[in-house]
Formats: sequence, C-alpha cells, structure tokens
Amino acid sequence: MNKSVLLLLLAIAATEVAAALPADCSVTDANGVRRVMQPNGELLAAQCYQCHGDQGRSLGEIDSIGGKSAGDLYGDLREFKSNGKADIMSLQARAYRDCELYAIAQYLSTLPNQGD
Amino acid sequence: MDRRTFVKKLGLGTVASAAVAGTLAKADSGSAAATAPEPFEIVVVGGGFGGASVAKYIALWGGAAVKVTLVDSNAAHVSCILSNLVLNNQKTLANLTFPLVKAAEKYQFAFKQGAVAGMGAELNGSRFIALADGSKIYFDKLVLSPGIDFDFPRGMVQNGWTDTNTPFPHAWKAGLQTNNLRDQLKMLPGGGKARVVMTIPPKPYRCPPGPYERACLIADYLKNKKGGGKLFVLDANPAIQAEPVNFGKAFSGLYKGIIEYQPNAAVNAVSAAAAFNPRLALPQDKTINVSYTGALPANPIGSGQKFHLINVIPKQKAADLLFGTDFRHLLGGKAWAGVHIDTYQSLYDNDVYVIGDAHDSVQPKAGHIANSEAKVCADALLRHLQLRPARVMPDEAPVTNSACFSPITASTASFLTAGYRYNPALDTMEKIAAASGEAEQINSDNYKMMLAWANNLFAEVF
Repeated sequence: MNKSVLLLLLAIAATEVAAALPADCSVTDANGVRRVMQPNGELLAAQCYQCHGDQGRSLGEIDSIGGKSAGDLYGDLREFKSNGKADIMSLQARAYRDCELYAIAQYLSTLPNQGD
Repeated sequence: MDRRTFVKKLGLGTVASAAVAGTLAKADSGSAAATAPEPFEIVVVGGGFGGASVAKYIALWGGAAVKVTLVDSNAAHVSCILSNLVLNNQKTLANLTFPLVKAAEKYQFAFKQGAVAGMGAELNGSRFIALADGSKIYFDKLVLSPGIDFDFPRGMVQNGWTDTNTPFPHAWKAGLQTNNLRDQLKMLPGGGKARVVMTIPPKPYRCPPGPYERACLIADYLKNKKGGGKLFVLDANPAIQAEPVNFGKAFSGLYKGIIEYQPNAAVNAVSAAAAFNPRLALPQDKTINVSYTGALPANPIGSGQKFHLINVIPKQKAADLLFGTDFRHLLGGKAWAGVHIDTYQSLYDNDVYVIGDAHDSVQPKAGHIANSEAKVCADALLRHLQLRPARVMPDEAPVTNSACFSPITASTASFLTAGYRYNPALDTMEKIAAASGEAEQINSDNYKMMLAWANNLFAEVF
C-alpha cells in the first residue's frame, strides 16, 4: 500500500469516528467558532443512579446499566428518546441532547459490569 | 476563607501548575506526601436525601482534597419516601430507617450527631458551625440541606401533646407521628361510620403527589378494613397539584362515595377534646375551621361538624434552622433560601450552599430530586474550590430529574416524572415538557417498580 492510499484510508476512518458522534455535539460558540461539545458524562450518568442504583448497579427489577457497551446503551437511549411512548425511561431520555446521551453511555461503559 | 489559607489548601507554591489545571485533587496527594496540601473542610448539615447525597458525592469526587463531615441531630434518617405505606401496614418505620453512621462508612465521609446552634467566625476569618454541645466544626464550604418546617393552624399544637399522643399527627416528616396516624386509622369505627378529614397545604410543599397518595391509601383502608366511611380532602390549592388524571380518576372512580375532594379550602384552626389514647376507641370529638375561596362545595364543612380523625398537613416553609439569627440572611426575607440555581450557592453567602426542600426554585421539594440537586451542587462546589476545571456552557448545563411512584391501593401505583434543565439566559431551571408526565395507567407493575426504585434510591444515598 502506498503512502497516499494509507493516508486516504486513515482520513476515511477518522471521518467515520467523527460521524459516530451525535450531530448535536457540534455547537457554535459566542465568537462564531464551531466546536465539539464535551458534556460531563460522570455527572450526567450519576443522574441515572436514583433508579438504576449506585454506579448503575441495580438491586432489583430495574436494569443494571454500569459496564454495558457504550454502543448498546446509546442505542437504547436513542430508542427510548424517539419511541413516542410515555413510560418513565422514555420521558427521561427526552431530557437530554443526543450528545449528552452519548456521554452518559460512554461513561457508564467504563464502570464495572454488574450483569443483568 | 482568606487567600493565604486558600493557596495553602490548593498546594500552590509546591505543586502549583497541577492545581491551576484542575487536576490536583488526587494528583499531588499520592506522589509527594510531604508536600500534600491540607484538605478543604466541607460541612453538610442535614442527613436526608439531599444532605447524605451531597456528602457522598463531594467525598467521592473531591477525593483526598476534601474532608467532608455530615451533621444531623438524629442518628438515623427516616425516609418520607414510602412512609405512607406504614399507614396501611405494608412497611414499618424500621424498614425506612437508615443509620447515618453506616452511610458515612459506606461513602467515606465523617458523621457527627449534634444539633446545630449557630454559625460564626474566628478573628482569623475561619468559619464554623456551633453545635448545641458547645463544640465547633470549621468549614471552608457549608452545604445546608435542612428540609422543611411548618406553620401550624391554631389548635394543632399544644403543651403535653407529643408525636406519640397528639390527636393531630401531620406525619409529614416520617417518624413517630407516622405510627400515631397509623394507630388512629386502626382505631377508627367500622361499619362505614368513620368520618375523616385530611388537608393539603398551599404550594409549595414537600412531595407534590404525597397528600393525594395519602388520601388514596386512607380511602383504600376505609373501603377494605372499615366497611367504608367518609374522607373529606380539603385542598388549599385550586386543583390537584400532581398526577391530576390518575388521582382524579381514583377520587371519582375507585373511591367514589368515600372521598369528597374540596378545592380552595384553607384550614384556619382545629380542636380536639383530648390527646390520642391508643387504648380507647377514637372519639368523634374533633372539629375544623375552614375558609372556602370561590364557589362553596356541595357539602361545605362547618365548625359544628365532628370527626374521628383530622390529618392536617400544615403549610410549609424552609426549616426553622434557617430562621435562626446566624442563618436568616440566607432567606433574603423569603420563606425559602435563595440560591444560584445552577450551583446551589447562596445568593447571600459565597461559602454556603442550600439544596433540597429548603431552597427556592421551580423544582419540586422531594427526596429523589434532592439527590439529583446534590450531584449538581457537589460538582459546582468542587469547581468553586478549583478542584475541577471551570464549567463550560452549554456543554455542562445542569440537568436534574424527578421521579416518584405513588401507591393508589395496597397493590397498585401511578408515577410522576419530570426533567429540568438550566437556562443560562433566564438563570433558571426550566421544566422540560417532553420529559415530564404521569403514568398512563394505575397498575400493579408500577407498584413493583416503586419498590425497586425506592430500594435503589435508598442504597444510593444511605
């Protein structure tokens, strides 16, 4: 593989990684400069623990969420947000920007897995 | 705190740049013990859902850079959440009692049992909380989570009446009054003869759905254990304040003929011939003076009518502690403490934060959201101490949530949930309509989820 093809592949890979970030992570600041938002996943994820247990470790019927894959968690949160239902989790998911849900999923995935 | 002390605690001069970068919390404590700065002293007053949670998260996120002490006059917290289930014998107070020393061990902060008598400062500027036993606890930052107290109607409180024998237990702080109210319900006459009143205070009050939930459980108890009876629900507000669809349905359907709901009804006074005696049948000796604003209900209650049981949930205000000489400035002349709502820092005192039921905001006064506020406050307080980098907006706009399950019968429940987000342009927390609502159905699944939710919340806090 020559160098220019390698660079092209790297550029495509980088684009794909960027595309994985939710679109609403992109914000324009007061000076008109576009930048990527960085929500505090640790703080936002802590707002899940009232129902899902400390560090996402649930004691009873509610799902444990600590240590699950970030992709699965984000997919579930997006599904809750957009499903049109009015259960607690669907309502709660609508409190957050996609970018925040993404940060929550990323943070929760770093916690010890508690099983289901 | 003076600047010299602040610099010393940050460890500037020895490990200066790390501190400024906001990474010092743990970075300089392990590597160079000889130069480790003194930890910031954080005192939290009030060991309920707000106070115990903020102590936990300041200790967790502050690490070795903070020393957190929780102060409460009681050795244990008795949860208001689920306490209406004591009334129908689904729970006991023991199930809802959480020793604070255990929470402190579990989440690594110190607990000191003691009544707060005041707040002061030494000549060098060091601030402290004074306890009734004469001891002082010094702080760099103070978080108050003292909850509520009451404005009682005339006749509700008298010398010689205790939590155990008062004929008028509000039971709006869980404890001995909860058992008293349970016992009075048990002593009501059967055969559909029981005549009961409960009153709902003007908003804001602790736990918006709570009074309606209690009305349902009392009505359920009358229906199933006492052959029916009459429960007048007198609401100082113009309408049901939470879950209006589900509570409305329960009042007019499930409990038709038992509950009579009367809005715009304010209680002025109550009277009883004697203290509650659990060994005697409950006498029909209690009266209530009510003012109706607007249209009179079909069966207005007059001062001549007598009832077996009157459960007044009194009008509420921030805890009495905040009306004391050393704390009154935090109220700014109001009934609730004024705070910067994105941090919970007092509007009137930069070293003091107020969270939970005692602060003034659109967020409901309840345990679940007090825990949510505690996390936002802990994060903000650590940023103010430069233990975390300054908050970036809109990336880190505070978001809080409220969720609450309400039993409607001994085996079914409803729920209420809401989300709130900080709006920097208006400097307020705003309710997010799309994230807020009540249960579509009253059912047994909600009842099971209520117990699962409460167990996780209890374990998260205590």
